[in-house]
Amino acid sequence: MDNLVEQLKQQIIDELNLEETTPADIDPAAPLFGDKGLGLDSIDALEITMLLEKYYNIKISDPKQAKEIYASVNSIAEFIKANKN
Amino acid sequence: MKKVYIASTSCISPQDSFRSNGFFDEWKPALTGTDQLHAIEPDYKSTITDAGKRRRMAHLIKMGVSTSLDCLTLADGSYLIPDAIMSATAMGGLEDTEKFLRCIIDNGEELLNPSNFIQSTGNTFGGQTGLLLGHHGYNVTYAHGGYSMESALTDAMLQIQANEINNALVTGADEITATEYEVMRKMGFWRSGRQMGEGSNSFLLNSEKNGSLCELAAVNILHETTPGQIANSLEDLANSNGLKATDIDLVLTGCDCDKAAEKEISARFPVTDYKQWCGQYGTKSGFGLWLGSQLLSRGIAPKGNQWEQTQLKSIAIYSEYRQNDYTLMLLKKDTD
Repeated sequence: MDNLVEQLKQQIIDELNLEETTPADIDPAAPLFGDKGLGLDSIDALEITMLLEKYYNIKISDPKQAKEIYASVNSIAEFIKANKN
Repeated sequence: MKKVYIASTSCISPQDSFRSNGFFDEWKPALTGTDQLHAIEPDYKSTITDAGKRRRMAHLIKMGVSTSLDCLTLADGSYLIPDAIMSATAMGGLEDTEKFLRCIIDNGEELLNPSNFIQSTGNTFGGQTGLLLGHHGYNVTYAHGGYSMESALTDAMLQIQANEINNALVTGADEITATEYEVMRKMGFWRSGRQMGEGSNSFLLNSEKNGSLCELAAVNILHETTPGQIANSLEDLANSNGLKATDIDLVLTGCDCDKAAEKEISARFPVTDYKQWCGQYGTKSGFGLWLGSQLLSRGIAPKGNQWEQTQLKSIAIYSEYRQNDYTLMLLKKDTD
């Protein structure tokens, strides 16, 4: 799980072009969106959806789920672990 | 008719031209031995301070936004909000366009990155400048090939002369990408000694003379020309602005491939090639305009291979691209 979290942090940095952020700067339990944590926005949410398809072959079938899944790096990692084939 | 003045400028180019007098410290020889003249870029953390906004900006957008904001910076560090924003680009956000097209091919038209699509359009740096400034007024981009810059300048001048606005930010920018270079190479575009260039040039045009660098007296666009027409047009431009041909102290030339027109002009006017310092790109005439306005305001002129202290009164800028797009601009040191 720890490896997955670290891998996910790096993929988020690369795909979202967070050029001044390192994996160590990302608290895996902190919110990804909104004023706290990384402060990502709706375009970033689309990019994370693409990231999940590209690297893990996972599609978010119910968009209502996304808010819960994308809450933090930890919650995304748990979702990947539960759904990866 | 109301006069239009250049109140401030900012330039990113293959030269040391951004927020610096470096370019004018000593004569810079033409950059040879390469057919790509890449811009000397500033530290964008100092020009676009919001990291969240900056991370989605490609090279072209960072250049365009940086010169735009720099041109509007007031003494206290805040920004002047212009009445209108006019932008010019011949090719737009090529880097993002290429990434987006690559993504379409690689991912079988699925999983497309929205950022690359959003940033690929030509109007992005004008839009981003407006967003960063909180500007909600007129904001238009001209993507008119080799005369995009002049089209944007014409719009701004007409609106100032018609009292629609008092000032306008005009920015022209284009970028080099590896793919464009390669495609043009396969078409044989660089065989003729052309050098590909890039950069961003911003101008704050104003109806107020106070503190301005010079007057932007005229901008003319010509398409197909006949032999002798360009030099005659330059003379007409002088006459229609209260000058004789001999009053034009210097013509800054950005010639592409029309050697006959180049010869005509150099036979009748003192000329200096501005393109040797910036290379060929769609909005290169912005560099010529930046150079002309700086020479007039600094009281210097090219002589041999050095800058000489001398006060020129009028400078014309001649640009040409592929024997199709010809433009003329006239700058005057307004001493009235």
